[in-house]
Amino acid sequence: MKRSSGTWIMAAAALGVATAAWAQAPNDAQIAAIVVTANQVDIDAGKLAASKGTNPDVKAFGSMMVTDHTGVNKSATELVTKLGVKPEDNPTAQSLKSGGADNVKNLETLSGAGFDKAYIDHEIVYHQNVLDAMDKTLIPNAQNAELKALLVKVRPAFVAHRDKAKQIQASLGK
Amino acid sequence: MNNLRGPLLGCLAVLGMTTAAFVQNPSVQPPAGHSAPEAKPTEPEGVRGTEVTMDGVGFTPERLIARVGQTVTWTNKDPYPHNVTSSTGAFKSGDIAPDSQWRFHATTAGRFPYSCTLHPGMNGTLIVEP
Repeated sequence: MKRSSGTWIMAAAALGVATAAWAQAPNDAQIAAIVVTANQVDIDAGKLAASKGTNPDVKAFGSMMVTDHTGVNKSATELVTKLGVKPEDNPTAQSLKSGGADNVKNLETLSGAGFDKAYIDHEIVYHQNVLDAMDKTLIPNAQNAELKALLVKVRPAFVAHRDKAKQIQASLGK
Repeated sequence: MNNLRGPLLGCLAVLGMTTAAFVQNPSVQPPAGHSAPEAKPTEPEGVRGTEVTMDGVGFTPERLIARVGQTVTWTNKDPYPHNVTSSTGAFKSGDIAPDSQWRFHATTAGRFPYSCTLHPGMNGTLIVEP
């Protein structure tokens, strides 16, 4: 199933990264690279929150992000290894990586309640954007049935993470 | 969807005919001394068994019916931990790692809603019959 370059650019924009002019939809190797990078970005932020967060719920959420996204990446890595697919770097994966680094860099300048709020606020937007990208581009364009199935299987975790972050965000405001 | 239209219309037609027959035939009445049968629930109460799978951030079956004396097993098929936490405090598994199981021996009859406290929206119910 091929999608227009417009869809792909929209997905890149949804991930909060610079858009790139793609001539065609991402292939499975590119999707694999995006998935692994998206998870790694949140693992890095989660590690920081677990160590630097002040609110116990924020620290626990950070630890859970490390655990859950590490689990997703383990499954993704095992699958692409089995399929013989080598993740292929691409502009979206690169932008995700640099965007994640910028987020961590910003968080490192913060502390206390300011850190907690900035981290949780970003987590809500991040998970929503990844969900949008999964729905609009990654899942529809995945050609291999097992890769598509993995994306569908882990999608609810991103919903749960977003909702958990919203719960924490509401409690931080009290 | 179009493939469903035929059977769906067929079902509607059957329902319509049944209703029409009942309305037009006043001899079809509940037996004397008996009230009309109660409406049955549209959803099954649950699935009988002792196994629950945690997969795709959900419990399957969502509602399990077991009996007192049986042991229920939850198996985590997701790549991240889950837990099984009763909302009434009847049981609490702690984290269940991927590809791991947790067992609960049912000793009390009742209805026990539970959830994974790590993942909002992941809910289930254990129904224990005497």
